[in-house]
Amino acid sequence: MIYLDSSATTFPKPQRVQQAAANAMKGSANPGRSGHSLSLAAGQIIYRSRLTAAQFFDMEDETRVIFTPGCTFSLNTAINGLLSDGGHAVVSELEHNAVMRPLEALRSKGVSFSTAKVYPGDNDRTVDSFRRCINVNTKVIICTHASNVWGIRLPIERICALAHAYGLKIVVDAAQSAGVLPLSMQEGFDVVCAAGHKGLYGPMGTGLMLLSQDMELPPLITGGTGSNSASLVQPTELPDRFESGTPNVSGIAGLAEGIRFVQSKGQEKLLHHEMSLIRYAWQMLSGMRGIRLYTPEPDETSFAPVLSFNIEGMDSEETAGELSKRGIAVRAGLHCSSAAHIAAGTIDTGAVRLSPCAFTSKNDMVQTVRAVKALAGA
Amino acid sequence: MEKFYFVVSSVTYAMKAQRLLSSAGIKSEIKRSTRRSTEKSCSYTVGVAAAKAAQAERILAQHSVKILGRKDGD
Repeated sequence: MIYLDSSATTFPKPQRVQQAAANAMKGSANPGRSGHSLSLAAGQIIYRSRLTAAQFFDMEDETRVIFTPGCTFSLNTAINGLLSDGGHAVVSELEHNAVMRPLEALRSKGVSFSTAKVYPGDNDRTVDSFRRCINVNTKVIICTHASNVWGIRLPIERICALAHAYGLKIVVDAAQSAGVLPLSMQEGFDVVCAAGHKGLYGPMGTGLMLLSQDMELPPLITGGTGSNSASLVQPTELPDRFESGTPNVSGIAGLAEGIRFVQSKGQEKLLHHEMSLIRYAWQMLSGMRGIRLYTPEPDETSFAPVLSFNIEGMDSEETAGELSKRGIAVRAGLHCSSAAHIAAGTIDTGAVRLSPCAFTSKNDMVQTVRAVKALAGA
Repeated sequence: MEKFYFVVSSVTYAMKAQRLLSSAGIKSEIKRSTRRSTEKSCSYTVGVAAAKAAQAERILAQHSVKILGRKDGD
């Protein structure tokens, strides 16, 4: 199979990730609850994984690396935590439903939001667009680092500076960018939410919430943490405050190995590799009759390695189905991001998305382009 | 060898403490707290040689590892 659905989850997982997850399952139990060797072994796995993640994202305090079941959980924690008393948020026009649905649900608590237009390649206009959405009630800017549909990359460092200049918090959705685009907590982001299983090559069911040194939030979930059980009050100490319940030890072990995999390959090299494949696809598809593209030619400064298109006259799911018959795995439809499709005018058609990873070869993309060409009759 | 125990809130802080102390050349042992060692339920102790206790406490304080309790001996 030619797998081009890495924006959903990377596949395959590196052997070292699979091994770490399996080893954790064989050699550890529930961490932080007991004193026996299996519990302590699990505690070591989790702690070392936390250290690995902290180092990767340039964080001095590893207790501010929170493991979650996924980026969606992290975003829900941040969004609900910051807006539970109401207020206004600014988002981009490209947000995933993991941002938009919590915001929509918070309308009943008096939350409102404004949508900033994004101008690919024109960061000044994009930042100004965010600025014009801020009002006296704005509490937070929530924005994706890169669109999961169009690959458009937002200037989050500048948006962060804008947020702080207005006394706002910033929450970054790094689902598509963690492990792919440069991302450092030293830039001052208040909260970064990341998927563990996409660009970080960890198992599905893992995610991260990275908190800046001053960031305080209420937890989304409360319960047993293995600490201070006599008290009915959720601990204030991190990470326990946000990690109630039994953690996904094998998943977290795999996630740490995924991060080490990215470090061993070099994040810049991986980005360059994947972007070269996306640029090749864009160049070939743009020259074909009957193919519709929706972005300018991607480049490494303005895009993440994601490209979506349509074959004129074909439903996007139909295109994906035909590609699947030819052994090519892609995702079509609305990609859990109606906002991104409304912005591009594809809300009725959806689009077909190509998203490579470290294991995608040039030949994979060549064959995919040929298959698309054949389907389009170009 | 006479030991000294620091009580910390969670296994995360126990392991953070162990890492910090190890970097300073201080060996430590992590155990689950008992009712003898602390009034705090569901916590962990980090045991060091008594002679190293003062240095260890300084290191933990420098790195914001909150100590919930202290205890001499076994």
